Amino acid sequence: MKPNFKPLLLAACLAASGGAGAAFDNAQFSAVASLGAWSSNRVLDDREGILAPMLSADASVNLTDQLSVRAGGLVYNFAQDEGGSTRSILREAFLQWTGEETQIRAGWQVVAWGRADRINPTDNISARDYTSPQSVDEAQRMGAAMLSVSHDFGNPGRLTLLGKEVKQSRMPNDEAEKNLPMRPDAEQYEYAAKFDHSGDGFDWSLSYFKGLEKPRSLQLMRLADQRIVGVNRGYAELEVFGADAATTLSGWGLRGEIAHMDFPETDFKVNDGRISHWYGITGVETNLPANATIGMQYFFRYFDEDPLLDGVTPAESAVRRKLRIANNQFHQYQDGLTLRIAQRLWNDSVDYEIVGVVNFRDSDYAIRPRINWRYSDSIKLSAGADIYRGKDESFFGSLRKNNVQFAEISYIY
Amino acid sequence: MFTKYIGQIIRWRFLVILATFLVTGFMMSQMRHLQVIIDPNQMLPQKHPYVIGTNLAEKVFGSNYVLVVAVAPKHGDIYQPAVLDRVRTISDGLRTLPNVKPETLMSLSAKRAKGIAGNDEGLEVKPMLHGATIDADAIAKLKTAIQRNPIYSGVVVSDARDMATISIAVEKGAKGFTPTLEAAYKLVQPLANNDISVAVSGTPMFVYYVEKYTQRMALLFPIALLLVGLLHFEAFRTWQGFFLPLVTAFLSVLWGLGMMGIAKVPLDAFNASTPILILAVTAGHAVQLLKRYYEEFELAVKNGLAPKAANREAVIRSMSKVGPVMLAAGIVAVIGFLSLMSFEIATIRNFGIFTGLGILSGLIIELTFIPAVRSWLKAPKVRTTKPRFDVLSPVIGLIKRAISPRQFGKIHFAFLLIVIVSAFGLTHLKVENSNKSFFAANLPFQLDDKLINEKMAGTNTLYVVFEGNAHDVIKDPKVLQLIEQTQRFLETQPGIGKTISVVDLLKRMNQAMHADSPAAMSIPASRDLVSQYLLLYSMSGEPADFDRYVDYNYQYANITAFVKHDNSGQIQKVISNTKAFLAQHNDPRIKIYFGGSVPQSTALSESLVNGKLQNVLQIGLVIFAVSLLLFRSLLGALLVVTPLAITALVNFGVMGLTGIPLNTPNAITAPMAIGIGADYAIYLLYRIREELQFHPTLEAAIDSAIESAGRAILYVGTAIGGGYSVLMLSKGFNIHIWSGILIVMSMVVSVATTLLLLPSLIQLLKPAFLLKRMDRKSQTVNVAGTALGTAGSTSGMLMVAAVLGLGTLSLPREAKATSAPADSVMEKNYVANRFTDSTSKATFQLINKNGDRRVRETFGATQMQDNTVDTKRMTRFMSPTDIKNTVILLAEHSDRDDDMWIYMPALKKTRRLTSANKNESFAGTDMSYGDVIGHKVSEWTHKVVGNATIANKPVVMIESLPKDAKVAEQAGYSKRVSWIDEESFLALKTEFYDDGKQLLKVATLSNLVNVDVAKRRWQPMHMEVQNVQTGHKTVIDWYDFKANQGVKGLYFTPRYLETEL
Repeated sequence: MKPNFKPLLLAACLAASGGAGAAFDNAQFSAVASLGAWSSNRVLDDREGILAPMLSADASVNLTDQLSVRAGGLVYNFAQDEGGSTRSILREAFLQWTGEETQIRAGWQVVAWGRADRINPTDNISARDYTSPQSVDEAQRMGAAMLSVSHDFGNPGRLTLLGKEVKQSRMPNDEAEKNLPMRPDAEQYEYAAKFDHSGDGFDWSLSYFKGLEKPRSLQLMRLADQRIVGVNRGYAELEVFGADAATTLSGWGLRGEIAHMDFPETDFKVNDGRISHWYGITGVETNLPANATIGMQYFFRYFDEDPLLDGVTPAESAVRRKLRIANNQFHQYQDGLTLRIAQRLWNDSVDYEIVGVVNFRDSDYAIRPRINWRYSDSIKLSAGADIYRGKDESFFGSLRKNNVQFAEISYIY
Repeated sequence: MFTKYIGQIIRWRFLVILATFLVTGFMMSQMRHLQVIIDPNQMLPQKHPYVIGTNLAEKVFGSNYVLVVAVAPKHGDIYQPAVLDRVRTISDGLRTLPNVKPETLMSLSAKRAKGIAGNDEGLEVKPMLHGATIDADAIAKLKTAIQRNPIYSGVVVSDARDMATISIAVEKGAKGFTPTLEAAYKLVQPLANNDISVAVSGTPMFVYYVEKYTQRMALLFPIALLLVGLLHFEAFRTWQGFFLPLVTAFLSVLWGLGMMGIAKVPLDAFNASTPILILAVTAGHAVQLLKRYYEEFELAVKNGLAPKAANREAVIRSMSKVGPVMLAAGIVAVIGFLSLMSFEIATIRNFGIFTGLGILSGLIIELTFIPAVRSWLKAPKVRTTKPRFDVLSPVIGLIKRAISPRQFGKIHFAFLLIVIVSAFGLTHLKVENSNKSFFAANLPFQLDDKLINEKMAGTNTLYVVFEGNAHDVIKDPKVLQLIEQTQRFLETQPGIGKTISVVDLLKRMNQAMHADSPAAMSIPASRDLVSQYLLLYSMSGEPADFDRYVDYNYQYANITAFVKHDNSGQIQKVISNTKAFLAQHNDPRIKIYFGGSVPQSTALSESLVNGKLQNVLQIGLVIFAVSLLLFRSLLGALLVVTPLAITALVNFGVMGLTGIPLNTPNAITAPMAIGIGADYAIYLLYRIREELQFHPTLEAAIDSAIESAGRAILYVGTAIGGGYSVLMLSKGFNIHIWSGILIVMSMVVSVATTLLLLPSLIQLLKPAFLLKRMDRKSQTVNVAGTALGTAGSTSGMLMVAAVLGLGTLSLPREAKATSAPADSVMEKNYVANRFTDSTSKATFQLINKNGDRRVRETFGATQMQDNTVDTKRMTRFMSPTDIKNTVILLAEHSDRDDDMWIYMPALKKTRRLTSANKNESFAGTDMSYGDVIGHKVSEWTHKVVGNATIANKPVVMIESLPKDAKVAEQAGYSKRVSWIDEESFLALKTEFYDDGKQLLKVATLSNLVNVDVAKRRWQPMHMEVQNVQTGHKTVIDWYDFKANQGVKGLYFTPRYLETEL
């Protein structure tokens, strides 16, 4: 078993930053301590009524004009029936060198790509902890050891190259599936590149990623005679070519993203694993009176093959149904809509957001309302819910056990 | 004047510091004369009839401070050799103690305690316990003597014969009663064992313990010092904040104590609290000054001064701003305390004098030494990080919420209720002095005293002195009858254990001369017989035997009534009844005086009632008069006095409701609290008046004053309350505990009334002495300016003027706007402070109508684009934590929509924003994106609507209307009115009207700094935007503003946005 040294590393990084802070006037430190009351956890067990304390901290210090260190992470306790309840996430711990045009980072980093809202086909670099008690989805990202270099070419844009260790996401069904045999990872390291342009009224980027898919996927296990003998789990090898763009037109913001998700090592006909596909999203957003914003996006996946269940035995059909759910590939063309309404009130002391996602083909959907009230700069109260609806054999329907309501108080230092 | 004065102080700072040390050294050398002494005489109103009576009794019949030692066997009666031997040992020992009057010794073995018996030759007068050995025979004789002479029962032996007492009169020595009592305890304590207990009581013992407990101040004072320091540290979060006020306070205390030493006035229970008071008051002034110093220092740094120069500037400016107020408030306090000089009770006079002088010392030090030191010390660091959680900020928020106009009803009702309850409490106020009440009832010496008073006639005295109009009047049987009737009457009164007079002796002589016949226990029938008995007595007695009862010429006689308590209220009733009794039995030859230890307390209490009221009124009048002078307004003076009146009323009311007696030590607390509280009201009113120069509305000015002076008042109140709360730790000593409770409570009430009632009254009454300044400004455009200039901002120029510096165009000085067309002026306004590039830091305060405040700190950079019109602007939020590293990048485009991006660290992403909605709030402030970017001149129709002056700056008023509905919709305004400064072309004030044509916002700029003298570029360092419809306000302060420094292009790249600091 791989030793979990992240908490120690995080503590060491924070301590080092703190120590450096004593020596450097520009040292920065911030922390957030929160306590949430959750109706259930996010690991699909039946546990209810959970108190979830969480502490996150960030520290940074500029060692010289060009050299800086940054570290951050969090520790939380979120009770679950199986597996450890107390977990940590090392988000960042890197050394950064910044030149006039070039920037180099070495160490644990989080990278987020994609100009669309929430659903980003080109965002395949950083894993996420989907089981953590965090109200903000994006904060679930986990860091990974990485070397990244970016270079500004001025007006044309910026090129970013990175290489990193493989780091997988924590999934709600990890514990439930732990008895399934594990496939070995096909890669130990991942690589990515992006050319990004901002300005002149139109932002765009082209990107490439080669590595592993972050969520786990299930595959059928067959003998040489094609007889199915079981299901295994693992992280599919993935190669992605992607592009995104954003612009504004009058009072509208337009954004879109498209990627080809190629799974070179999987063959649907052979192992029934992940199917290569085109994944795209496009949408608009606009501002409404009183600091309100509304945005709508259309997304789709077009698989190279149709994951149909026709012509198989009932037993095989049952297994494949599981795979459909686990791998979120139900139809050769599956699409849906996201809707986001947000508003900031009373000079940003209160904000709320309602996000809805619906899959058209199976009519399953998720609604995620959030509200935050900043009592002061130090104290924030949050509440929200994740509501999943749909038939059992649908993506959101399978997550119904993760329906949660929560309220959280945070002290921000 | 102050500026010039402080300039001189700074110039000669080393001389000032040296002189201060020399004076301090001298004062410290004089502290060697200080002593902690309780002189009861100093507490007494000498003209009071009871004091006159006491003094007369003491003069004629001896000291009234009697030390009592009791010896009691735990089993059996006193007629045991071990008991009687101790009585003799103690009696012999007490005679040798320092400051005692040996001839006043009274005990079973004292020579004065003589048994009177008849014999063939006349009267036999012998000591009751005589002989060298105490054997059965001696004990038998003693029993007989006591049985025959009931005068001694209850006085030297208890009625149950289970306790014997030894008493002796004590005089106050140079070191008070302490040497006597310490020697007495040393004498008697070894004599107690498991079979026999020995106890000490009497007034000198209580005074001794007051002296002893008062010395606790030596421990309490350093604790108070530390507490005050910590409270200041919490307030300022700097070690200078910890030390500097304490240095002032400490030096003031040394000076005050030195002055007490010079005058050789001792510390007593009451002026022993002077150091803490001086510390609290002077530290309070120091806090006001220090807080202002830090404000001015930050401002000076923002204005571009180097730290050293900023330090000097801040010292001068803070002193010139706060100095006059401090002087006014300090003098009010000094006069208030010095007015205690008119108090009849010496110890209170001393307290007033030295507290006043101590505070005066503090003022002198604060006006000389501190600026000298401050200018010498290294400049403080400018705070760049967000302050930690501040305990008092939520309180300030609550206060602001409470004084909003909507809460007036509740505030006034609450205070009315407090006044009514306090007035009710006042009716229950208990005016009494009792030494015993100064201590907890369970202390050992209290238990001793209780036991002695239970068994004996009493350890306290009431004297009734009969003064005849001629010699020998006392020998008249009629007069003797009157004395006896008075004794019998007194013995019917509550608390009176026994009475003794010459009559008792004469009656015993008469009985002895009649073979101890019970029927003969009466006053001799004739004056001659009385004379003969006295002659017979003198033949075997001693000349001094009658000294305690009658004078040598038989013109004065004294009834000594032994009282079991020292409650002045109860004895007052006894005296009143006795006076009524004597009025019915009037003898024209006789004049009656009352005195003794308990009536002295009554005298204190009576004088306190009048004195206290007089004192409170006196200080109130002094404050009223000085305030009248300061504000030249009757209403102003009344506003200052109103909170103080409520404080005094609550002080009395709480005493009445809680049963805390109004006595000598407690009498000081109300005037003390009032004197201190005067500072608060004056500081606040001054600050409101000052803030009215910079704020468009009274409400906004009060809000700002609460944040500055109000916060300092809270610091001061916390420090004083915290300092005095230390007194509550003085376990068992009620004087300290009461003072602690009352002062802390008075501080709470003073602060609450000053910060809650005063502002709400001001808003309700709108006093002219405050508003006339604003009115003056209104006439000249409704905004007042600072010395550097104040202004309202204009549409686009709001943030532009602040975050940015644009303007490669230099504006020629002669380009005055007075006659310029409106469009031309607005064009100049649009580019007035656009620099080639700039960087700055800023603090955004978002303040809602309840006064809740959120602070955001930013770092910003601007850079002119190649077309020399448009700019790029980057704003990075550095705090609070939840939005830290959020970065907004704006790229203006004259010919199309602006580009806007926001980097959100939680998402780790940069997002392009739609730019059309310029009416949306910028980062939660009261400014819209349009205000930040600037409203394009060409999209509005402008016309000049008038000329005016703001802060002596000529301005031109321009009304701007949107050219079409789309512009109006995008901007969110139907009209803007700008007051454009003719020199800088910045809009010193701007009014924004919503789409319903109602006034929406008022923006003002102040602290204009000429950051580019050559090009005459100006930058406002302070901006306030008040949304008059919601009550929300945004206050922005800039610092570290640098223009035309060659800003890096990196700041405006996505890579920089995504680099979290």
